[in-house]
Amino acid sequence: MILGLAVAGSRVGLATARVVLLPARIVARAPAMDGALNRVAAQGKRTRDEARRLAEATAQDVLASPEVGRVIDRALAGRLTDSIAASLAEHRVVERVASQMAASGELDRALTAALEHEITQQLADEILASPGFERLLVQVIDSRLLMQLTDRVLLSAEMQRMLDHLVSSPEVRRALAEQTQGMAEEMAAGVRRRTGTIDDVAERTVRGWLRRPRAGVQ
Amino acid sequence: MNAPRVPYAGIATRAVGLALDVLFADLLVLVTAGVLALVGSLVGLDLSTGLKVAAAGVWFVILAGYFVFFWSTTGQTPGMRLMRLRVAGSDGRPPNFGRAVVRVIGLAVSIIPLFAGFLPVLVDDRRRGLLDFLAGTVVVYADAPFPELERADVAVVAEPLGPPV
Repeated sequence: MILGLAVAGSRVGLATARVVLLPARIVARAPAMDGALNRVAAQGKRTRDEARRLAEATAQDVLASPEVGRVIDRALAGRLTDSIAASLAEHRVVERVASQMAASGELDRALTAALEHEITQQLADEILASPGFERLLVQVIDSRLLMQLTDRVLLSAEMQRMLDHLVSSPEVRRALAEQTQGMAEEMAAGVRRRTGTIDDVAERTVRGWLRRPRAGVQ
Repeated sequence: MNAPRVPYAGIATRAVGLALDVLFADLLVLVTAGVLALVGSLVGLDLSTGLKVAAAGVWFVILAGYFVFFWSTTGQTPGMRLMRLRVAGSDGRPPNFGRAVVRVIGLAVSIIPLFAGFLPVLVDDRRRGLLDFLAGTVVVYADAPFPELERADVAVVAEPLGPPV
């Protein structure tokens, strides 16, 4: 019974609300009101865009000001940087973020997207085509540092291990043997072809002098 | 139109095979001689004329042994194997030891008069040289089927040394 009363009460309340809001709904659906509402919405959008532009310009002004530069410089020169670095290291923030990104696959996706992006390709082309990059590359190649680095790599235990592995690898040995055997076989086949031709020519010539053709050959 | 391929090896192919064999055999002799010379120098041995003659004899024996061994076992020396050639008797098998020895002597006899012993290869229907006539053998391409010999040819080949083993 109580439940029936509650249901009946709620129905009565809903009907009352509909009756009360009926004038407002009629006004809102009127064609004249529709145009006014659209104008108000457009004005609001314009105001929002203007406010964003203003905020952006202000932010640019602030960031470009020398005061901000000085503040950042002072902040970096102070103990704040050390504290932040210590906190980052203590809480292993970088490792956590990196592991999470790697686990989620976001890092791969982001890298792939960045590498496949048109701008990245364009940037890479421009860098490779620039004379400055070429000069830099030549300097790096000519530098003693590269020679030392190469020597270090060549003399390193890892490189020796890799070379030992390569030399002792049955696959590499088999490939080398097959290639060598193939080359020798090819050379021998070439010699055989040539000597076969010489055989026929020499025999035909001598038999021609003696007027003695080979039996069975016209 | 190409002429049908002759199953017998011609003079140029055989010459290259022989040159390779002489090279291999001489390398063998050189290594052996080098080892013996090293041992001789260690024990203070001085080569007298007699020893030099003996060394030349050993060189000939090694060279002859090289050919006899390969001809009588597989019918192919290493040089012939490279040129895809083989020596065969009238039955298509490698020559036996006796025929191989006769063939080596025939080889020496063919080489001595400025290789004139090989000239019959140019005119003989089975491309045989003097050494082949003496030993009753032919040199054929190893990858070709052994040719059927006529009865008369077999008889002529087999007569001097009896039937092949």
